[in-house]
Amino acid sequence: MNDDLTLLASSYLDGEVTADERALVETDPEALAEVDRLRLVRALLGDVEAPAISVREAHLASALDAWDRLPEAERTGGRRDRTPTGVDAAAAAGAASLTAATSLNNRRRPTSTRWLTGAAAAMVLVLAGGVALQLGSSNDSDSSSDAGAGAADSEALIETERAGDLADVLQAPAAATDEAGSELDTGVADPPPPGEASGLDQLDNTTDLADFASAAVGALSAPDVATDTSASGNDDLTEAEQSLADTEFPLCPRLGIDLVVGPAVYVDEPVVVGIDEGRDLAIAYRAATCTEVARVRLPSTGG
Amino acid sequence: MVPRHLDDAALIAAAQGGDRFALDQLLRRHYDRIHAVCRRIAGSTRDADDACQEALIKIVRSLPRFDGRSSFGTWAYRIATNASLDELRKRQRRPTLHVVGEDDRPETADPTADVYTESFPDQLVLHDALERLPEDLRVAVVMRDVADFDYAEIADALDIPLGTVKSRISRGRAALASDLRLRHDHRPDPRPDQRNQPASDERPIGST
Repeated sequence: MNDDLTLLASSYLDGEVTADERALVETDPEALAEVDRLRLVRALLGDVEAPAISVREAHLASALDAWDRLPEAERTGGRRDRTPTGVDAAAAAGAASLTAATSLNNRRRPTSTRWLTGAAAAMVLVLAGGVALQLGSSNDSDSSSDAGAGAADSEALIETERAGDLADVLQAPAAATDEAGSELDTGVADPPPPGEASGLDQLDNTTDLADFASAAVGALSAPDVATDTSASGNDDLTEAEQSLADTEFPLCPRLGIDLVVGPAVYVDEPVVVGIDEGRDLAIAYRAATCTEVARVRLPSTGG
Repeated sequence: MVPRHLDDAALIAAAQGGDRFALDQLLRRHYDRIHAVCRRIAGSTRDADDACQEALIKIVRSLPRFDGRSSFGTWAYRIATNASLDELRKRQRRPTLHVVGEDDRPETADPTADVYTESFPDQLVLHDALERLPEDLRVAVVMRDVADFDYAEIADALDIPLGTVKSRISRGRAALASDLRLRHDHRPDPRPDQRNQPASDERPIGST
């Protein structure tokens, strides 16, 4: 097949030919065959497998969180005088509450000082998550309220609701008074995120995930830290915390985890953060199901 | 509830007015294609996911300044293209821990398993073919065949002449078709090392 014919066939496929060129292609069987061959390439390229729902929802949640963290003036681009079109404010506020506006700086806690408390809370969360997932898989009647949503949206909604349910477990008193009528600008009145209540680090995006993992790995690799947790002032641990101190989170080999860094909350979802040392990745995952929630390449340490 | 039939322009206007739910709807509407662009350009799932996330965040941060001169899709997929290219460059700067050589490849249990059959190439094969395609050709083809840009939009985005766009797309598609061994009858050709070893009942390649 010569290049000119391929070029002509490719342009024909895209409708970028003159009338003469079109006639030329349509009267030449070889050119038509080439068009078909290139059309098949196009079809193959367009047939991209959809990402996992958890990946999509994590991406969207990160994007919306980035939106929330934009300064109000920047977010609206000086358009505050414009009336939003076609929007039900209550629905918008409800959507806003799915991923609460949060600020990392306000929430981040030192990892090392809260490790055991955080681990205890995370174990509760992870177990609760497992129960919720199992319940969710056998009871889908609760998810049918959004009649307009497609199947994928419904699944996404279920996932988000699960995360919300877990958050509710942690902050029931705050959530009880915050269900209705919250306004779009939730920066001040939002209930604390799950991580706040549990003492876990709140990770809003993959950058936070990378920072968290890097910091924790650095702490773990320090010679006097890895073996120091049981000897340094943990006498006042609760029984649950103490028992959790002896508990290990699953490595989830399926995800390639070589090292568990610790529990955290990623975009309002309780997760365990692990490291894939071979590929230099930090991975946030649900320990109960070994399901990946987010991952990011670890920042280079130089050298 | 934001009506689902609202067009992009209405959702953009609402989002620019501060409506988070409208933004969510807008992103959901275009997510699959944004992801597809990233997947096809960045290659690996992990890199594509990272690129997709970066792209979405850039879209969100830039949305207040989006002026509607192009469609939202064109604008967003362009950002996705750039994010994917950034991810590719990051990957190239990354130190390679281990180079997989010929010796590292697992032995094929069944020697005939390597021969294409009547089925079309699967996604892994396509992925490999895309990886082998030079970046300039890959980007042009993906912008056309995945993001659905027209030639002028691609020329504008890549800052190259229209003729170059046409040429890159043509060469890219042809290279992929050859790499995937797609024949004009739409059946994959056997691999090169099979071509000179016809089975006893095999007719010559290319005969009709």
